[in-house]
Amino acid sequence: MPEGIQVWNASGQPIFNSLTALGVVIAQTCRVYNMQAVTYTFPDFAGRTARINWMSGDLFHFVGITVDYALGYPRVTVPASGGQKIFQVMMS
Amino acid sequence: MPAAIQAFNSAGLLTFSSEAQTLRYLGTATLVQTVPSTNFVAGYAKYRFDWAGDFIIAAIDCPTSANTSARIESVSIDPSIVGPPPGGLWPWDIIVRQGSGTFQSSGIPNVATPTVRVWGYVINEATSGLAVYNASGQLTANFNYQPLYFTGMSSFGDGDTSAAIQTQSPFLVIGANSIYPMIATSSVGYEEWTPGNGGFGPYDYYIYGYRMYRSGMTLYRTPVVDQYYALYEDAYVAPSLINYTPPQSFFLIDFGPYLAF
Repeated sequence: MPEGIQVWNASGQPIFNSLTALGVVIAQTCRVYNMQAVTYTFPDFAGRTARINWMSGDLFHFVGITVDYALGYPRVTVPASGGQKIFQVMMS
Repeated sequence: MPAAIQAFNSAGLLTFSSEAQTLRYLGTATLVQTVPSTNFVAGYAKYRFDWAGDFIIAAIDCPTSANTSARIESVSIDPSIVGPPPGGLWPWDIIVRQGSGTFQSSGIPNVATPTVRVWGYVINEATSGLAVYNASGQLTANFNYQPLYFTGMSSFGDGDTSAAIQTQSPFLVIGANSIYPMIATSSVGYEEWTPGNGGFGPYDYYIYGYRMYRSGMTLYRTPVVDQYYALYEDAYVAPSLINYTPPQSFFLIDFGPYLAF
């Protein structure tokens, strides 16, 4: 039997199976205010691929958000431009 | 330092981490207002969900017809709330646009009122069973409740209007990692309407976005363009310069492989 995490609820129904779930978890939900430059780092997720999921706010300036791995783990950089931006950082 | 608990699927992709947030299913939102469409302005349906957490994901069934492309436009806390939330609960407003399958004579879609389901961060509450905390002592998962389940991930290529998906039961699409990102928790991209302002005439509007729907194992996006076009009100982009079908990746979520509502 393969190794993984399976969870059942109190009624005995399976509600989570790490072997069949898609490979993505939500590492952080970020809110960046007007004209703020912010860098987020994720050392707990070394070796994983980060994706940005836009949620709301200044869409026009969303495109300036970047992801790199120069530190050996994911880093997300938000330039100081535009209005408030809310987005998620997802790892797979 | 790596996360204390990690799990991977057979493809080697991360499917659980105690350092990540595992969202739980909260329930359905309440329809509180419907503003009908006119020939010049798209209407909307407003839903409310009260929740103590500082983040939610709202979802509707992914449409199965381009003409019934209801979508969630925004999820936000009522801006009139200042300071601590009343009763410890934040009043979340969820706006749904379009999607009834009928249209005004100008082509503006009428408003649908689909069931809106909500997931959110786990919060500390008295429970028994499996609860998981990160290295900072914050609760990150509580498996007494049904978690949000990612069932697929795919992408539209540049110029593509369809993409293969791994499951026929996606609740919705979450955009990710794209130049023109989709709105999270929405079944379409984004779109703006105005009854006429800026340099436009009194009855003009502009629009840019997608109607998105599923058929079998394929997800389709239909670029929506009409009359006047802009990516943003103060940054007008001529229609010929807009890539209406940019590369765009997305996730599919569901209740998991076992349970259905």
